[in-house]
Amino acid sequence: MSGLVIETDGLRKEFRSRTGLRVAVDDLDLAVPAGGVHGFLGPNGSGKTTTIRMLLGLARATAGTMRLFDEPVPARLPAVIDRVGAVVESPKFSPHFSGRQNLLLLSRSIGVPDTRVDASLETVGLSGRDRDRYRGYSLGMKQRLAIAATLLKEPRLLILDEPTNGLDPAGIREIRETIRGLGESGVTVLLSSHILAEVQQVCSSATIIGNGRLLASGRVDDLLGATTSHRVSADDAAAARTALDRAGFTTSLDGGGLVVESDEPAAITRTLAEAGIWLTSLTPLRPDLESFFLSLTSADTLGGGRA
Amino acid sequence: MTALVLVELLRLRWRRAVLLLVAAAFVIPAILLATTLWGTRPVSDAELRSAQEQAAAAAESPQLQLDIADCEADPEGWGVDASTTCEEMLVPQASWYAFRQPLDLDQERQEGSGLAVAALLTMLLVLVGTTFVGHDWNSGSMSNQLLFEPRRTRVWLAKAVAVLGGSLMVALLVLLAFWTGLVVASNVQGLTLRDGEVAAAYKQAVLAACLASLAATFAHALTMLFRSTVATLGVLFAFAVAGSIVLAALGFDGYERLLPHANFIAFVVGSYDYYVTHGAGIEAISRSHAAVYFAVVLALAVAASLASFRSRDVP
Repeated sequence: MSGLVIETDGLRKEFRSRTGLRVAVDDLDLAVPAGGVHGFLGPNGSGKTTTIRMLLGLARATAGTMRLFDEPVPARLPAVIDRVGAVVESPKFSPHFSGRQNLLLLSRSIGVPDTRVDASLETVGLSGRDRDRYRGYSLGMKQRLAIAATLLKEPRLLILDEPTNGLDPAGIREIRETIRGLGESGVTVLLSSHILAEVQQVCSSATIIGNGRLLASGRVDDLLGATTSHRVSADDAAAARTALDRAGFTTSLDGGGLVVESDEPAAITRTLAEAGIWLTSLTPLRPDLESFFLSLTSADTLGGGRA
Repeated sequence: MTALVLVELLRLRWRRAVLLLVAAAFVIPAILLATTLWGTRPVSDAELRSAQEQAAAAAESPQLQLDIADCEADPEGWGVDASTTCEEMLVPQASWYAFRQPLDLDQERQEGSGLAVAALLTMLLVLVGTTFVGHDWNSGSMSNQLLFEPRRTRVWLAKAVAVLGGSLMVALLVLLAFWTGLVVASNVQGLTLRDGEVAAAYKQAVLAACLASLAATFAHALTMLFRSTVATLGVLFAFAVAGSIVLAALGFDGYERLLPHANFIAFVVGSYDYYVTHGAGIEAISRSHAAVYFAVVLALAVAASLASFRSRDVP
């Protein structure tokens, strides 16, 4: 037992077309531990959805191995699929059936009682519109129905590909809370999203890919690293900067004020106090996921020759 | 597997396009039955009286008297032999104005409405098989289904069984009802039926129902292969029409043995005659040949479809 819910090793996917060979996923090693919410990030076309589709048996891998719950997939996918709920890309249901009919067809195919359909619809707030035709649903309602479909199985692994697309702010918040709650309840959630602030709010770990290759992976805190700078506010910012420069600190000015490159707030405070300058605020600056993501992906793009 | 088949039957029943096609499969044969019965109904007393009046009026025509005189002067020129007279041949009879072909089950079975209903039903059920799975591909819901049942062979088979079973049930109901209507009408009209005539009619109903439901399954297989209703219908059209034209253009003796419609008639009716330039001049396609022909076509489509569905990525 590896303790990993999702594991890929050397995963590769090639698409052949008239224009030639395109490598969508290239030697990808993915490791998602059990429990919590794991972010799966990458620019558009980086191979996130293709990876998810291979994990779920919708696309065949060109090379490499994949495991879900320690079972090799796609060979043993039928043995684990009951524990996996997934929304891949946009929700895909029969437009002429009602939301309820669509869920009934799915639930009956796996022998789940019809009452689970009612419960799932209730959970996503679609109970009042469940007999409306799917084609009349807003994009947000379609997303909710897709999430309701994943809940039919009471999954242990939830794979969500851009689950908040089309949702209004209140809907996004609801889904975020649902995802956070699922993660805390022991369900492993793989959340693919381009809204990085959202990912940072709910994910405990993340994998970042670019051009189909792994760029970084680990706990979000570890990925972002320790605080390495502080923003200093003082009545006389110019004097504060001079005092800090004299003491050997590296300083700079940005739109928000004076920034000191140091992970020692006590030394900053002491230096300014000795110079007779009183701080009005001292704020640790920590890189956010968006900055980290952009620095990784832009570097990958700049240096990114493809096979 | 049973649960999957039941789900597919439910999906089939909920599809509005399928319901419309099934409704057409009942309504159009009902119209054909009605027109057949109307066209072969016995002559009524009123019609007979009207015909007698028309015949009597025509017999009064001066031209008729001239014709009779001319005929009697030159009977050979009028084609009159010893078995008849000019008067018998030229004087209008009531039956000339009130003749109607009586209902003939054998004729309806071999070249009449029975054959037409079988062909029509087959075409409608082909559309059912195509639109049923074509919709899954067009809407993208196939991938959603595979997230719940990833064993693709089972998914393919469940849909095929639903199409086959549903089509067979509809086809049997329609064809048995159609032939029962004709048999009852024959009895009501007091017609004398030949030995085995009714049995042959019902046998054709069962054979045609089997063929129509297999055609629906064939359409399902093709649609799972091409993943599009329009593409499947295009291929079927090309197969049925363009293929026939190409075969005819090649012009080799016996090309009819490869034509879908010739084999269809041979299977449903029992045989299909065609002309050849050698030997007796006429050869026949037997039912067993047609059965092998359709079995090979179906097997090829199923094999290609299953192999494709099992191996290709699903969007």
